[in-house]
Amino acid sequence: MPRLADTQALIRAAVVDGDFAGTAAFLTGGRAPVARLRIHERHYAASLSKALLARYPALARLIGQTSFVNAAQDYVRRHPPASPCIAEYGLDFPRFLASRRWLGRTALVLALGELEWHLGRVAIAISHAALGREALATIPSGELPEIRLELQPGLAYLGAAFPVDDIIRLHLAGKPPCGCLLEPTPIWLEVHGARGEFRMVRLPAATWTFRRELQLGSRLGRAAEAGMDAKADFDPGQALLGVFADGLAVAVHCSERGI
Amino acid sequence: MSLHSTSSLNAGVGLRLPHILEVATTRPAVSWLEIHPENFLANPHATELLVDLAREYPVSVHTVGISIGSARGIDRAHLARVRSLIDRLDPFLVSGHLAWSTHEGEYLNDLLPLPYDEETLDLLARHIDEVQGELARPYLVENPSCYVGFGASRMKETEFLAELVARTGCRLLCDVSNVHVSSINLDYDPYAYLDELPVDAVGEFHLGGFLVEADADDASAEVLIDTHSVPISDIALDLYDYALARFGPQPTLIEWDSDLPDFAALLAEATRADAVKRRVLYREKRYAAAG
Ligand SMILES: [Fe+2]
Repeated sequence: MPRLADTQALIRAAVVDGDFAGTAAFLTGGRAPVARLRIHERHYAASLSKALLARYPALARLIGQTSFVNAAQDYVRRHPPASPCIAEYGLDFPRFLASRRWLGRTALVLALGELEWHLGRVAIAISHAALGREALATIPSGELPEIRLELQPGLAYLGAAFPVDDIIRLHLAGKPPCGCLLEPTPIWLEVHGARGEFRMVRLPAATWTFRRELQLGSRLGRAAEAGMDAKADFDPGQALLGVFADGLAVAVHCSERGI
Repeated sequence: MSLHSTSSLNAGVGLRLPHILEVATTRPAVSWLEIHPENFLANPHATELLVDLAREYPVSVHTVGISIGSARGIDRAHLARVRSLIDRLDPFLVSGHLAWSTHEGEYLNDLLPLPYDEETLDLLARHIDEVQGELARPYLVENPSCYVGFGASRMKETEFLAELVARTGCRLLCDVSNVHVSSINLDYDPYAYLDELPVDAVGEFHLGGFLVEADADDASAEVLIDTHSVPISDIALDLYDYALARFGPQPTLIEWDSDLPDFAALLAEATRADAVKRRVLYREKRYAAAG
């Protein structure tokens, strides 16, 4: 008699891999109990494929529904979820898709997939009360380079080699991407979402670099240097005011003073 | 909310993400709401709305991912996340399934069946003790919908559940539709099943829709699939009538998870369940009056 752990390993192989070997020895129910186990196999593949389709609808439109679903079913067998929170499932699905060479457009698939993942993430974020620029008024100018800004949780900064934001806009309008959008066009994108909504804004490369550094938790001085590395005449002061004007800053952290 | 007041609640409905904005905005007349924490833990916006709703509606937390039946152990990281949500919601019920869904770090997104023997019983009793300890409240264990059984089973599901209650002090969530589904699929009497459950342990009912398919390799037979995608069948409501008479009124939930209709359709299902409860209470009153 197999122990429970062995039984569960065999059922796992049936449900995930479609390998039913050994299960007939311990199952009962109906005339063909092994076939009954296929109900669970079917549910596993269908429910997770559906979750991926819901996560990456524009990607599915780009590569075609049938190809997407076939790839999704392959993916769910090779990469079962690690958590019961299915909203967290499928982060690396675009990379898996892109690895299927027959699909072509590897870089576009990756870029669009990355954007859709972040859209799903930021749209379910909450937003905090934004600070005004007066939050900096009490900080001596000499200490400014050492501060860190905490930004809204529903932000993502993505660089892409394709105009994936326009592909998303077309998708939301119910249209497939036109040929011109499939040509390489470098963009620097800020995605800001909260409470079911999002917006996508293209930024100049230096501004994007500055804000991304802030979001990563860099000191203001380091973020300014990164901006100037991207563009020699980058103005960190104006860029900082822009962060406040756009309502992105929610807290100022000054290590020495614990603000 | 006291247990005394929960038994008088009308039927509640499962709150799924596509409905949460509508419910938060319109505050419909529903007695209580049940949520799957797995839908909310990775969704700060939905959690924010839910925490607000929990100030107005009694909320039940029904977990699908703790996996008390996993031979390799429950998902403790997930249990800790569920605990964090429970701390914010203070639900009046917390429940999960007599099933397993994780295996060596993989989540199989389904409620998988268990053999009913001593090994499984010891394992589940340990896991339920751990869950109740972590959550600091009683856990209601739900009877599963089954398509297969196990040659290794040495006791009936009802005996297994009764023994879990005796060993752990857990309570039972009687999914009446699951009783019907499993009774057809595994060929037993659903009324006898209800008779065998420990009467004082049942603290909640579920009602959900199922689909009928031809059984594989046996076109003349049917297998019922627990999809929660259609209205509750009359036959399940008849069984619910019997369950109410045996266990008394308990918080009853309408489960609908796939092909989700408008929220109003869920409320209509709750009204159907409430009509059954009124009928049973009226009948019991007349029997009592007749002496
Ligand atoms: Fe249920």
